[in-house]
Amino acid sequence: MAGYVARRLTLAIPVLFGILFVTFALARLLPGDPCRSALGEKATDEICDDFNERKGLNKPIHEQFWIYLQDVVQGDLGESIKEGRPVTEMLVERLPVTLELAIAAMTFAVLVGIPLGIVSAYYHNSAADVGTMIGANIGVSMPVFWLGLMLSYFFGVSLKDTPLWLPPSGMPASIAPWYEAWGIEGSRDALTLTGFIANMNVLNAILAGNTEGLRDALRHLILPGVAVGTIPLSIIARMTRSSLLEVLGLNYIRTARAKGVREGSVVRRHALRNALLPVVTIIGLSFGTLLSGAILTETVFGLSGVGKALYDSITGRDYTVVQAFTLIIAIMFVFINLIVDALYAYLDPRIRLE
Amino acid sequence: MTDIAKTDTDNLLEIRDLKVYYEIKGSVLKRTVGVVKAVDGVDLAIKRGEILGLVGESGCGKTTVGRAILRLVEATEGTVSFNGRNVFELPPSEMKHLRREMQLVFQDPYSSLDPRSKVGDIVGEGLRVHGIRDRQERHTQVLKALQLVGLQEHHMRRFPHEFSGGQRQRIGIARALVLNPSFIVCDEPVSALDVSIQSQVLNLLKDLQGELNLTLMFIAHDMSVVEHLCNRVAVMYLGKIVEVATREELFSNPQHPYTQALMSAIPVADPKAKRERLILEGDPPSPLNPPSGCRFHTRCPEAIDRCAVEEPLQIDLGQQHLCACHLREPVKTPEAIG
Amino acid sequence: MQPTDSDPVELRLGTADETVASRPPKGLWRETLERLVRKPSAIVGLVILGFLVLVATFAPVIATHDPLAVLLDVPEEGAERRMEPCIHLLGCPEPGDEILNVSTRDPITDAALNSTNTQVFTTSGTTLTVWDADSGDALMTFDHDDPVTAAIWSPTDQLIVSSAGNQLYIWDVNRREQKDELPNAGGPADNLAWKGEAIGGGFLSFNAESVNTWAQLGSDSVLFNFLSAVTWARTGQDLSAEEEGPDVTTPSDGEENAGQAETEPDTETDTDADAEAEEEAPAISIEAQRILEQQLTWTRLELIEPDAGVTSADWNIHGQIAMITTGSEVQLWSRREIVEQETTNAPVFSGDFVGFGEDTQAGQQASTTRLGMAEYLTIPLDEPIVSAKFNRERTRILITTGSTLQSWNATEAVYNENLLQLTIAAPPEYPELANGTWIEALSRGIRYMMASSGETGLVWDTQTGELLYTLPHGEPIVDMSTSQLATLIFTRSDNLIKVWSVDDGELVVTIETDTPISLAKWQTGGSSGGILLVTENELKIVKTSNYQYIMGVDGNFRDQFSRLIYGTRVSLMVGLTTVSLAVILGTIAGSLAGFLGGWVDNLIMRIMDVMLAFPSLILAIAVVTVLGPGLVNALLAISIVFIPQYARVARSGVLSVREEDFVMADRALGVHPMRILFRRVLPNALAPLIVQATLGIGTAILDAAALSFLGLGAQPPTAEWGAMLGQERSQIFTAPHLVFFPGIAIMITVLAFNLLGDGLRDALDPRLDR
Repeated sequence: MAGYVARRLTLAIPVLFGILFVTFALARLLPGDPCRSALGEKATDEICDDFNERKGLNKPIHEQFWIYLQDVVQGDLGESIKEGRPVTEMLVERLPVTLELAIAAMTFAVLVGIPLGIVSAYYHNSAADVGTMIGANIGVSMPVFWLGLMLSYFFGVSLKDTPLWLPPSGMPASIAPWYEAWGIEGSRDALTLTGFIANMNVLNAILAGNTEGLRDALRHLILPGVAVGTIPLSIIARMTRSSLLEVLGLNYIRTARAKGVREGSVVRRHALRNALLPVVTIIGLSFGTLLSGAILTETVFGLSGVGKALYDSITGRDYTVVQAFTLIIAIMFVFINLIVDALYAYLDPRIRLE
Repeated sequence: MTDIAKTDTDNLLEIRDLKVYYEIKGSVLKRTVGVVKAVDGVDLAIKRGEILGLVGESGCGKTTVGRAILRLVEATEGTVSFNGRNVFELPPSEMKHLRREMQLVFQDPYSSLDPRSKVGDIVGEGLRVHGIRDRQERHTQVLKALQLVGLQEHHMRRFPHEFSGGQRQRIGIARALVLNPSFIVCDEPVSALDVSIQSQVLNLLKDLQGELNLTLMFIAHDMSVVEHLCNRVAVMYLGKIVEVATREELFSNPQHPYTQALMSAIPVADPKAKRERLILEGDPPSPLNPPSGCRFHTRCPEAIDRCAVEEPLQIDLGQQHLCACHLREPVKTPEAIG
Repeated sequence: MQPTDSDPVELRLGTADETVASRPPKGLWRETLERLVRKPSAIVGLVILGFLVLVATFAPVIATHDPLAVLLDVPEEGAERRMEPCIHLLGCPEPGDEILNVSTRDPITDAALNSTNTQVFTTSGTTLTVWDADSGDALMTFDHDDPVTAAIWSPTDQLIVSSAGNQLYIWDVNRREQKDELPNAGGPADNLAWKGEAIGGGFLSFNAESVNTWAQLGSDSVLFNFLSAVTWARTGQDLSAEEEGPDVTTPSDGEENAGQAETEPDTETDTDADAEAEEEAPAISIEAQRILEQQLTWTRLELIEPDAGVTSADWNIHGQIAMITTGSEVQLWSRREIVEQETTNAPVFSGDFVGFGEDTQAGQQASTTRLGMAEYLTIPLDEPIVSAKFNRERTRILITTGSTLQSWNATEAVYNENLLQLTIAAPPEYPELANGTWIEALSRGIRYMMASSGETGLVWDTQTGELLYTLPHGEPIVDMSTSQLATLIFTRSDNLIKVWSVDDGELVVTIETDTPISLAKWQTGGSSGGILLVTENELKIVKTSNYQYIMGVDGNFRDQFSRLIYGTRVSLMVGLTTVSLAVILGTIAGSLAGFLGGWVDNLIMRIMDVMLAFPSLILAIAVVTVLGPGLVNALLAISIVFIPQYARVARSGVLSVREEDFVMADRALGVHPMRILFRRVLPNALAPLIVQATLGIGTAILDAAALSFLGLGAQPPTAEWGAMLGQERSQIFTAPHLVFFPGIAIMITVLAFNLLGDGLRDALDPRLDR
């Protein structure tokens, strides 16, 4: 198992290198002079020369790449042109929000998708099955941002003055960071785990024991989570169904039934275990959809996460941030896939021998 | 190599020390982490006009031998001489020319025919490649080939999946025949067919061989099929030839323990017949890491200490009977081979 | 590659011939197709797709409008910005239908809609009530001490000025409170006019004897900042960035303003820029207005008391020139610096106009001068003037006397020559002209002129003076007016309103009332095409136009349905081209990798691995960032992003087919490798590619829509669903239909391709067909 993980890790190295190259090339391919796009059109030649000197932009391109690599490895992702502060700082602020959204969405997708898939497969060709599959088909066909907008309209406006009302957009009210309640030193801006956790609203509220804050944070998380989670949900439901259907048709299930194993036990202990294996992969692959969805959804719901920051920096032409965030998202994506691979290998011994 | 093989100008094809290795690359750094010795030093001669059977278990490398002869897989070492010319050293243009002489019939009648081409085109492809541009001419020759294998003109316009397995195998044979080759490798052509159909195809091959004066190398794992068809039989185990003899000699007097085991596995159509069956234990070892010494010693019921250390050489037992086993004594002067 | 020669096919021993029986003797494609049409989901997908293709092909026939046409320019009366869907079959109001009916306790003396047609006020008795123009709910009431005689909206709809007794009241509509109270000189004002677009323009109040002109004044810097905030809010342009104004930071974030102004493309049409500014700016600008407004005070600029009685008075559009009709002359007054020491009878011109956008530094002599009004032009006529009207620009005045209609040039630069442009004498059969009005469209300028004569309305050509047609109203006309877009005219007598088409003078609709109509006005706010009319204590809005907007009207006055229809073309095009390009490139890359193997394979597949390491949308965003926004670039970006998945499919297909025996047979025959690749390997590896491509089209459409939604794809005014949705997303709470329909369209299209793709997969892979 450890060998397998090590093998996958080494395989990821060239990919990570490629990602770094792409993000590096991204900044170099941008139209216009990097100095003037960073400092503004009014920058004089002397200022630009100085800037280029400082940033190493006058060096040969391979040296620049080398410098970039060193910077990234040292955790220096550059400074935001618009906000004039290190991108890593923004990351500590933004990433927890996106992460929380992704986790909420995935939780929703898994908790709803798998049972739906199971029911669908078990009552194959029933009304419930057909309905679920139609729903799943529609689910994967919906634009995430549209679903987000529609949900926020429905729950925020149509259901106004009902108990079902949910805040249509925005961040939850800021509450005291958890480390204060625990008597730990910390800062929300610093690149530390305490700060990172403090920026995850739900987790922070739980740790701080603030029930009102938790309620608020959860209510703000529901709509974006559902919006982002719908596509993975549909995919998971479909995958669970087809995978379970296939397994239920296999001989060992027939054997189990013939042995007189109770039906619930057949499904739960014999079929599901094997049927859920491909679902694990699908869950991993869905993280890409999830991250894309988060970008679109955050702009819709006004959540200040990575996606919103990326969008803002694209419209604001803050290319350092675009570069850094693209890099971070890609690296996250690679590692999530790695984790999923490892999980799969753990669950399915055959993979390890591949 | 024996004198017979060396000097006999009757030999259409001579295989010498043929080795086909596959390198297993590490997934990360692409370095070779292992070598699969699919064929590891095969010497074999095929006489003009004979049907040579090549038998062995799955994975012993017999298919690879067949394909290496036709240069469909790259040989690592060794030579294959066809009519005295080394096939492996031919330049591409001459190799293409030589392909008219050597053809192949496949095991699986389903995957060996392009599902998207009509039978006429499948069979005619070889003619097209070898410069017969005229449609009419191609049509005539394709028809001739099809009729040889017992199919009719209207079959030309059909797709492979409209045929039964036996018919498909006939199409495969027609494809091989259309170039008028002198040598055909038949790679288990009947093993994927129903037993009832098998004999039809076997008879067809036998008839064609006689009629067209073909030389066949018949690869099989089924001893009864080989017994029915072949003049001479070579037995392969894990990339090596362990025994070669004429059919009569081999079936009446198998020498190598492995051959004996194979013989005992042939079913006898008499339920009352009680025979002592020689059951081999275990699976064939991996060609990635073949056993030292005699490769069969891990499963050999008669193995002695020497077998694990020293690789046996082929020894001539007389009457063109060659066997590679330490337990057998040569009739004439033993001579090292390869 | 299989390292040994062990053939897994050996396992199939003996089962061969049975499967043959189940295979019908048909061509492979036909078989696939037949299997496909047996899947209900695939049929649904095919049907939807067929429908979409039909829609895309016949878009010009199906669409009711040009997708890019601004309805104000078409012109089409009856469209409101972000109007809700309206289908006649489902009970959309038709000409003559009342779309609002409210009543008050006392008779209504004045009523007016705000500029967006969302609110209407009525004055009755001592109260002024503001109503919701859609629901008819009373939103707020303002009470006065005396009966209200007149009231008016400010141009920005933030304020209402009402006149009651000798006082003028200024009400803040947002805060629902009184803001100011001003004493009107020269008795109660029974008329108000407010044409100034910017604050600082102000309003005028008049009665038969006198005209009061009012303006909001403050220190120069406050005024300037206020103006720049307002201007920026309305047009998206930042004054401080262009002109060297006093260096006082505005409450709104200056940097952000600059950024906004920069990113705002100037190429858009007026309405576009307007709409954009409205979406981007309001939060800041309203706040800025509030803060700044507190530093401004309402001041009477001038009290004008002409010798003869005042018949009418009006501001020009910028609030710099007031036109006063008195007796037989028209006086034009403009805002000037007036030196205080001099007597008011002989005002001295300082020479500079003071208005927004002009040099405010002139106000430095404030100690000796004040801002006021001075008469700069008088048009004397032979007979008493019945009415005089500016055109929308302040360039021309239409003066009606009993026997003539006269068009005068009112440009300040030309004082003396060619002032009179055209005189139309009343035809002998139509004497006694009254109600002379321009027929002037918002964007197309003056079309015709019209006036009434007794029971008939008359319409003339402005250029030639030719009488075009007459409008036989049938009762003595007391009022006539053209709609905002100058497509309709109404003529009003006591109990009857008739609406006519401007183009041909045909009667469109007749509105009759039991009680006398005291007031009738066209709806404002662009082109709503309704008539607001007041009968005693009832206020109604009656619809006059017959247009329906099946999916409503978007923020730029464009028909959403037509845009949606034309969007089908864009989406199908985007889906097909991106995927075609990606499939072609991906197949080439993948099949070369698979077929050639070795370092080619390694290089290509490592590149693909890196591309797959990015979530597709993120990579597409990155690529578009480099290429620059635009539909074609978005298309390219999506194609590039999609290449790896097709390369992978093609490669694995090639790899699996390459090992097939029929490829081996070809090699045994000596067939050239490229011929093997193209004739044998690719066609047989095609099935999964087709499935992947069909499913990919849906994803491509989704991604293109997402890019457009983010403003990186299709640029305005292209009718692309994602862009349509993105442009109106901030209006989700007020105009959900503008977000709903494009999204549904995207969903249906993507669904169709997904269903078809699923069906194809099942059809091409019989193993899954259970």
